[in-house]
Amino acid sequence: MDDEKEFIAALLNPKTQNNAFRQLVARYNRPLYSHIRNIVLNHDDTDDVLQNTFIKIFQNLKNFKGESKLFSWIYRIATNEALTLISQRAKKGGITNEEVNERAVQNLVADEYFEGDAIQLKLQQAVASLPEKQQLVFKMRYFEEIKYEEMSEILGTSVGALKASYHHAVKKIEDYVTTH
Amino acid sequence: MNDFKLNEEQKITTGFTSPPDAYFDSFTDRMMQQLPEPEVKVVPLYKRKPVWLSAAAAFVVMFTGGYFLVNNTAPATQPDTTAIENYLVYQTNVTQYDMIDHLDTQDIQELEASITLNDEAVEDYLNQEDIYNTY
Repeated sequence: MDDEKEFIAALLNPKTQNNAFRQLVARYNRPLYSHIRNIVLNHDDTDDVLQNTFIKIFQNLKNFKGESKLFSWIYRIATNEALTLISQRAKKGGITNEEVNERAVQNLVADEYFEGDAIQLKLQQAVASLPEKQQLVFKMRYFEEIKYEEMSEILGTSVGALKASYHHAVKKIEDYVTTH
Repeated sequence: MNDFKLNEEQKITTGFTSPPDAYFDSFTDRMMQQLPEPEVKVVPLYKRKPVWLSAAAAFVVMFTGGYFLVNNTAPATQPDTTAIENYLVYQTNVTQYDMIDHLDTQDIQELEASITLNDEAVEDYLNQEDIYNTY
């Protein structure tokens, strides 16, 4: 915790800011890549969102009050950026956010950074059939194994609501895979 | 077909492959180059007054102006006929003849009607002007 405080102080100090931010990018670029990729599915979109996320983090460092963990704050920004991209795509195409995800799953087969087998592809299709919030909760819990308490800080939702959402998501996925 | 149970299956991963290490190594450098320049604090030469202050001043001016406009109903003072007459006779370059030139027949008739000459007035006039002695 003290290390985090020192690190945040270095991020806020103009003299040490650039060096500290370089460390932050090096530390978080892989886990954030996975997190964003799970949401937007496509590598190129992930690359764009990841860059936007770090720029937003840098611009808003002065507003970081330390009320939540740095990890949660960074993941919240990344999640919002990823969901914003999907919403923009949906608005542009005149379709729902869920339809954007379904199309992205259809394109996975041709993605050079996807090597999933039949069951992995089916699981992605099943997840894409869920409402957006359930998709998000399922991906963060099942694929990324983020604890409910941390998810609660990131998404601003109670632990109970997250557990219920995950439970419903699993049920629907099981039904989808069984019937398809 | 058996019912699919997610928790009874072996963990299913996403199927995504991670980009090569070179991507992440170069990403950090790319990111550092894209960072916005630190903002330079600009000190204004003059400090702008807040908008509400201007709005308040405008309101006060309009209110007081409107008040005086509505309540200032005193009629403009007009000079009476005598004052106008005196002004024309003594304060301007208008001569008797100029005035006569502007009188039409109707004016003359009205003048004659308004002048009441009795013997006493004629006698006073002749005495005053000393015309009588001339003849």
